Formats: sequence, structure tokens, C-alpha cells
Amino acid sequence: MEKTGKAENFIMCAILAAMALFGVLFLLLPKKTFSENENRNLARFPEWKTEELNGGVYTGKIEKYLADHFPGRDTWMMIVSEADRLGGKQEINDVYLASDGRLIDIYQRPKQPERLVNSVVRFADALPETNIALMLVPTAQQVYEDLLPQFAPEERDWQLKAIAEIYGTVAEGTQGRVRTVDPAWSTERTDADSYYRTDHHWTVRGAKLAFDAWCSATGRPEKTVDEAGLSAVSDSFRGTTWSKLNDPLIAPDTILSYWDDSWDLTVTYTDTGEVTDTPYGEEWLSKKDKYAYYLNGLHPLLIIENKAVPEEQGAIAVIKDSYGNSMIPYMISDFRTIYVFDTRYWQQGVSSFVLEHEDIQEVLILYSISMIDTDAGIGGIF
Amino acid sequence: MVFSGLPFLFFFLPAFLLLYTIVRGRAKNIVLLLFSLFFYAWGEPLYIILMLVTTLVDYTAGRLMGRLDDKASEADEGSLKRKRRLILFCAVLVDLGLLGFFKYADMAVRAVNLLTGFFSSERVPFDLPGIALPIGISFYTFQSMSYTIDRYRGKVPVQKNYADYLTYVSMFPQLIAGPIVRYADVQRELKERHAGKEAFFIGFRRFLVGLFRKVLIANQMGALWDEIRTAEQISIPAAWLGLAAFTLQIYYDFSAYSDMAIGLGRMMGFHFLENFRYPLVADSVTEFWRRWHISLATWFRDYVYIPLGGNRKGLPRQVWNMFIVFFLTGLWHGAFPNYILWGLYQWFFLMLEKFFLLDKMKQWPKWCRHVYVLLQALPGFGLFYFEDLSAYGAYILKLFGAGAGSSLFTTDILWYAGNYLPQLLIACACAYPLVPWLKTKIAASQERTQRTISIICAMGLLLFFTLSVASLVRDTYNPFLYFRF
Repeated sequence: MEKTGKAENFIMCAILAAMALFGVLFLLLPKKTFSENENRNLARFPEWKTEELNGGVYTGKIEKYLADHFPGRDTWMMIVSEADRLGGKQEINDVYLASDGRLIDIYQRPKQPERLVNSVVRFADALPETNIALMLVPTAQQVYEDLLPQFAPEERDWQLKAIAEIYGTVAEGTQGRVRTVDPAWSTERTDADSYYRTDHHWTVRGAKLAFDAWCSATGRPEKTVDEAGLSAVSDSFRGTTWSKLNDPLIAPDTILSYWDDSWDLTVTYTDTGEVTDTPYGEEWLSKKDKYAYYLNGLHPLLIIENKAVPEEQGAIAVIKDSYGNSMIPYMISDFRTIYVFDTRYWQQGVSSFVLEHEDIQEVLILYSISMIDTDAGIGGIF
Repeated sequence: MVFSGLPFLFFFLPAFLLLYTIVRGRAKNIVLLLFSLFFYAWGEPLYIILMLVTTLVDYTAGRLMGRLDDKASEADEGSLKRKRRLILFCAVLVDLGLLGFFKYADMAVRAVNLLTGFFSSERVPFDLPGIALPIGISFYTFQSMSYTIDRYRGKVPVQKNYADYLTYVSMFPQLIAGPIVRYADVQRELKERHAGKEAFFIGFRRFLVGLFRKVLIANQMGALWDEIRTAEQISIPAAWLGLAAFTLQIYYDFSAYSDMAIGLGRMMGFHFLENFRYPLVADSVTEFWRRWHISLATWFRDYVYIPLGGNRKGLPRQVWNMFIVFFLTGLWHGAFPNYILWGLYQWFFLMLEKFFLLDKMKQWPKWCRHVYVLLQALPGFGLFYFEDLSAYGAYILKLFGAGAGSSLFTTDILWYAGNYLPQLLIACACAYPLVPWLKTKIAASQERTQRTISIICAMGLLLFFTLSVASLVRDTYNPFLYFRF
């Protein structure tokens, strides 16, 4: 006759009690609306809709709500990530565990590069007098290709190839008028990290390598950056890649800040009307999303004026995703004014803005190769 | 609602167990019924009506037959038989009519469109009715029909209490994914059952083990299968690994559901019959079908194969009867041609074995027979997966290194297998009857050893429960970091 042992019965009682307890706790505990750790809005309690009862749509939403607000969610996520790592898993939640311990987001090859190409071509057609440069940024997966887990099914250099292909079609569409920034810089690995170990962005060091490449693509002399201009402002940055694992045993990153004493800045946020004298937002350093320190978060249009630079040096418009945020500080000494657009939120079109501002002689379009299919702003470049 | 979800584990089950334990006697069935209806309504409230109709028809048929039997002395035997047959016919017609309409209407229209397409190129195809499949309809219809047929055969007494009858059909442990429990098997326990502490713990342990098998093995095998299936390039070994992963997924998914159902039933004092007996260790397809989804196979045996004459009417008739049974088995699984093909694929191998292979196989070494069964099962389950037959064809080509997306031999299998190594090893090992073997060893050991083993098992339960809940919480994590505004 089958039976259960005393120890088992005891544990089963404990499990039953835990099931009831977590159910009650869920009902009693206050609910957050936003998860800092995961950097996303948590599901809200679904609004009652009778028609959604059919097919379990409504109850499906309740299940999502339950999972998002489950007591100890972060701890549960840590447990399963640690178990995966112990089990020898080298890819967790679309993240590669690289051989040096860094976390690398997995991205799919862009499927609709023509979206970006069309936008850039139309933009160039609208601004026949302006110097336009296009920079596509590879991700850590490309830069640290040699550190990817053994046997990971990735074609070598696919990002470089994809970028070259897009550059080729842009050159065709604009008769070579748009300058393209060669991503070869990413293969010159330096000792210092050029990408974060816990986030998908590049570090200021990676941004500097790309900045140098942009300088040479646009015929500027290469600049050496004074190491003394770099200071660590936070050493507890855990980025969005880390959040997919939520494993506290993985060490955090350092946030470096670049500062040039010669700057004399007026930084205007057109959406809030706020005016400051720094391209950085100190208050982000005490939050989870510390990368938002650069350019103080996301804004449709940010105007950085450096009064230390003579007006004749003109202005540049930068259309970028978040990768641009940590590179732009290196550009501050080259222009009197930098107009920084995030076309996800800037809806009026950039080309007409450039036409209306005669001081803008140059434009840089900067996107990560990972965002080409998904970035909602790409359609709004024009 | 599903067993392996947070709402069931943390709200439904504790609340149900609490209420069910508090109330006494007949009220237990009422609690069970109300919770079962809620359980069903969670996924599909409207279709409850459908279940009520089906059960009401079968319940009424059972009662009508009862009334006829009471008057049996007055009527002559012939007319009694005719009347009972008429009742059976009507009830089965309604049952199958509802099942047919709600599950197969789309398929029928597609078939008509396809056929008329042969005769005229300018035809306007009929619109698909687009009816959503009512959850569990195939399971509960078969359950309810078993009652009427058994009533007709005089094998079960009449059930006069509709609430009890509805409780039998809608009982949440086996409502939406089996096993197909027959009325004859639970009719006594429906009225009176004993569930002591012992049975409660045995049942709960079975439930937990089912939960682990579902969440920690089946879901992981499913993730592996998805990765391989959607990869742009796969090698021959990886393609086979993919099918193996899917086979393990479907076995663990399905049998774990049965585990949880049987366990929950046991906690309440029901004894549902086993539904899977290590099918993957079979050494012939014939044996595989004695071990796989037993409640369905025996249902078709008792209610289709034997009434058709089984093996008593000569060999050609038997082959035909088997054909019908496996055609229906395929069709039962889903309203797409691939399921029917899957059923006929099984039939073909059963016939092959019957006429020729089984005798020859006796001379093969055991491992050869086993490999043969696995090689038969893998492409078969592939057919089960792909509702789109051209996608299935493309995948089958990859198994032999042909077609687009195949890269013959590369190291990719090391990546896929390496990422799921612990789960793969456990899944393969536990597909063999290791646990029953260990149990007999343990039962024969000394009491002190048994106590130590009980402690190890207890730790295992706690560990796997924690991991299961963690997996359920995390795997809803779908970050759209750039779309949160």
C-alpha cells in the first residue's frame, strides 16, 4: 500500500499553508504601479468588461495582474535565474551569459531595414544643403562576439554585415550624399569596457570610440579625451539586461561622467521649459534607471548651448535613440548649439525644423541596429 | 483555469480545500459542483450552457430508460428494446451533434470549399463559421456519453439526482483535459467516499509531482522545441532533438495533467484510473497504445471497436474496425487533417505489426525494438504538432538534411542540448519507470532508511515547489522597455 512519510506530510502541510498565505498576502499588500527593477509599468487591475468574459480575455488579464504583483516577485525571479545558471544554462530570458560574466542581450536581425532607409532618404531629399551623417551602432553581441557562449547559434559579424547593407542602400538612395560612420571602431577592443555588463547601452568609453569614428567620417581632427575629465558618479548601476535575470549575485556597473571645464552651458528642455547648466540629471543616480543620467532622461527636444564656443561654429541637430545620450557630451565642445531630437516624442518632423533654423549646418542620425524594427521614432525622422 | 497557474494554486485550491473540508456529507458534492462551475467559467462562462445541455440530455436519457425498465413487465420485450434504442440514439445524436458543430464546423466548411473548388474555379467559398472551441468539450462529451451507453447496456443504475450527475461530468480535476472518467468507475464514490488523512496526502503528493512535471519539465521541453523549430538554420541532429523535445513535452504535459487530476481526485476520495503507464518504454507500437492515453483508447475500444464487431467478424472486418477507431482517435484530437493523418499513421503501424512485424520483432534485441518505437513515435508526434502540413513537410526534410534552413552537421545541437541538459536528462530518465522501481526497493528497506528517504523526498517537494512557483511568476516577464509610454 502506498503511503507518505511523516516528513513529507509536514512539508506538504507547509506548502498548503504557504499557498493560502501568499493568496492572502497578495490581497492585503499594497500594489506598485511601476517596477523599477524591470523598468516597466506593471499590469493594472483590469477594468470590468462583460464582453471580455468570453474566451477568458478578462480572466487572462487578471492572471497577468496576479503575476505582476505576486508577493516577492523579484525574489522569485532571482531564484529561477540562479537555478538556471546552476543548471548550466547559458542563455536566460533572451540574454547570453558571456564567458567573462557580462550579460548580452540577444537581438534578431532587422527585418524591415527599408523603414529606416526610406526615412533617411526622404530626410536627405528635403535638406539638399545640409551635411547629414548616419551612424548605426552595433550591440554588445557584436562587440564581444568572442565572449559569447560556446556554440551559441550566431552568424559571425551579422550586425556589421547588416549595417553595411543598410549603408549601401542609403548611399544608392541619396547618391552618396549621406555620410556613414563605419562601425569598425567596435572591433577595436580596448581594455576598458565599451559596453555595460548589465545593460544594453554602450558606456562613455564605447561612445567615445564611436565619436572618434564620427569625427573621421565628417572630416574632423581626432581628439584625445582627458582622462581627468572622466569621473565615476555611481558604481551601483544595474541595467535593463540585468533586470531580465534579476540576480543580485551579478555585480553592478559603474556610471562614468564626462566633463570639460571649458564648458559654459545653457541646457533647455523644451517639453518642461526647464533650464539647467549641465547635460546630466543627478537625481537619476539614486534611481534604478541610472543610464537616464545622460541628458537627463527622455525628451522630445533638448537644446544644449555652449557659450564658450563662438557662434560661427554653428549648430548640429542630432536625431537619436538612447545610445546618443552618452555620446552627445563629447560633441558639446564642437558646436555652439546642439539640438537633440527624440522622434518618438517629437512629432512635428525634424526636416522642417532644420530648414527654419539657419544655424544648423549638420545633422547626425544615430540608431542602434537593435532598434531598427521596433523604434517608433524612425518613421518620424523626416 | 489551469492547474499550473497562479490563480489555481494560490486562490482556488486553498479556498476549495478549506470549504470542502469544513462542510459535511452531501454538501461536499455541492461545494465541488459550485467550484467546478466557477473553474470552467473562468475560461469560458457562456459555454457552461453547452455543458448543461449535454449533461441534461444524458441525465434525462438515463431516467427515461429507468422509467421504461420499471414498466418492463407491462410492455413486451421487443418494444422495450426499441424504445431504449431510440432514447440512446437521440441522446448520442445530440451529444455528437453539439460536439460536431462546436468543434468540427470549421473543418467541414473548409472541406466543402476544397471539394467544390475542384469542380468550379469561379466558386465563392463559404465563410468559415469561426466558432471558438469550447474548452474540454471532447472530454466531457465522451464522459457524459459513457453514462448513457452504459445505461443502455444496463451496466449502471439510474442517477436520479441531476446535481450529482452534473458534479460527475463537471468535476474540476478531470473536466478540461481528462482522464476520461467513466460513470461506472465513480458512481459509488459519487454518493459516498472516504478520504482519510492518508489519502489526502497521497493525493496531494501526486498533484505536486504532476505540477513539477508540467512546469519544470514539460514547459522547458516546450521552450527547447520552440527554439529549434523557429531557428533559421538547424543541423540534422538538432532537428531530431527538436522532435524528441516535443515528444517529451507532449508526454509530460499530458500525463502531468492526468497526475494532477488523479491526485486531486484522490484527495477527495475518488479513484480515477491511470491514464499513462510509461508509454515511451513500449517496445512495439501495439504496446505503446496500451500505455498512452489509456482512458481514451479504452473508451474507443468499448464504445466503438467492440460494438462494430471487434475481432469477431473476420480479419478484413477487424482491419476496417481498427481503421475506424484510429480515424476517430485522430479526429478526436482536433479538427485539422493532420490529426486524422496522425491517427491513420498509428493505424498503419499497428496493422504492419499485426500482420508481419510483431513476429519478426521477437527475434530483435530489446533495444532495437525500443529504438524502432521511438523512431516511429517522433515523426508521428511531429504530425501531431503541425496543423500546417507544408510546414510539417519542411520540418521532416530537415530531419534528413534537405530543404531550406538545414545545415547538415554543425555544433548547434551542443548549444540546444547544453542549455537544457538537466531537464533533458531528467525528462529522459523519468520517462522510464525508475520511480516505481525505487519504490519497491524502498518498501523492502529498513524503517530507518525509509525515514531518511521520506526526509529527502520532503526536501525535494519543497525545492521543486519553490522552483515551480518561481518559474510561473517569472515566465510572464515580457519587457517592452521602449513601449511603456
